[in-house]
Amino acid sequence: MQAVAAGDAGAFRVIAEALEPRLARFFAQLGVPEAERDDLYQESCLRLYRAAAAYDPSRPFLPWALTVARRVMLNWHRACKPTVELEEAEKVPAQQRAPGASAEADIWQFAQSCLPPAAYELLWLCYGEDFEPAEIAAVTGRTAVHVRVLLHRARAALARAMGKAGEARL
Amino acid sequence: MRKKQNEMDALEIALRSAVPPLGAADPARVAAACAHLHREETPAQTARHHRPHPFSKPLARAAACLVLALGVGMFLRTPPPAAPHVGLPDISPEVISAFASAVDSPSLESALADEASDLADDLTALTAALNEHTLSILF
Repeated sequence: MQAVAAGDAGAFRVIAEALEPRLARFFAQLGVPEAERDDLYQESCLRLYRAAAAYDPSRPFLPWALTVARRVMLNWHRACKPTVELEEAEKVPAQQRAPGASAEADIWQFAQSCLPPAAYELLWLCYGEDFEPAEIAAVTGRTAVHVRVLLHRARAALARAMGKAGEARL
Repeated sequence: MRKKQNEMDALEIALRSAVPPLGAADPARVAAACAHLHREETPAQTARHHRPHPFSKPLARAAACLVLALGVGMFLRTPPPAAPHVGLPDISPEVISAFASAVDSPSLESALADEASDLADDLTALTAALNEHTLSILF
């Protein structure tokens, strides 16, 4: 990133290559449709490239990059208009489903369907991206203590939901 | 308590193990993003454009000092001369007292009395002359 900041535009290709699968998975896990991920990836790269001079090398790169990508995604969410009319919204089938035999494979989908988006995002940053609470705090603009509390609540809510789903299946 | 902790631990393990693996980078997508970046100016160029001119800071300081000096000058400026006062003339008490003493002095009083008696004499003489002339016309 220091080379990019110094004017070596070719050095950014390495960063873009390393970031592509990460950002693709991040956007996919946070509910961005496949068709939009390309644009969000390009926009994230553009912002990272422009902000290369502002990057502090003493800090880890990935949380910084995901902070930028998350803001790009939030902007996209704000710009999106609802595509389902309110009258038709009741006809849309609920996406929530209980984790079945392949519970491990479905647990993220189940968490996404039963948790609020903010709680799901924190869970993903913690267990999906393997970030520390301090890094999650930097990405999401919260304090580390707040992140710990929210993570605890999200885990508890997910455990409760899984317990209820298990009882209903039995 | 311990059971709950075990459940949480199992949940964390399940979450970690269910994370979808990272795929390989999509070369087309990376190439598209990099081609998009080539149209942008490099961060070094951006920093150079955003770098302030070397004289901008001293100039800004000089302008601030000038504005400050002008402000202080405005506050310390002497007030404009007051409009002329229309009314009684400004006569000092010494002049008034001199005038009063002159009026009250006995020399002025006697001079006026002499003048009055002169006028009375002139009037008497005039009357006598008129009488003489009037009688001369009749007789």
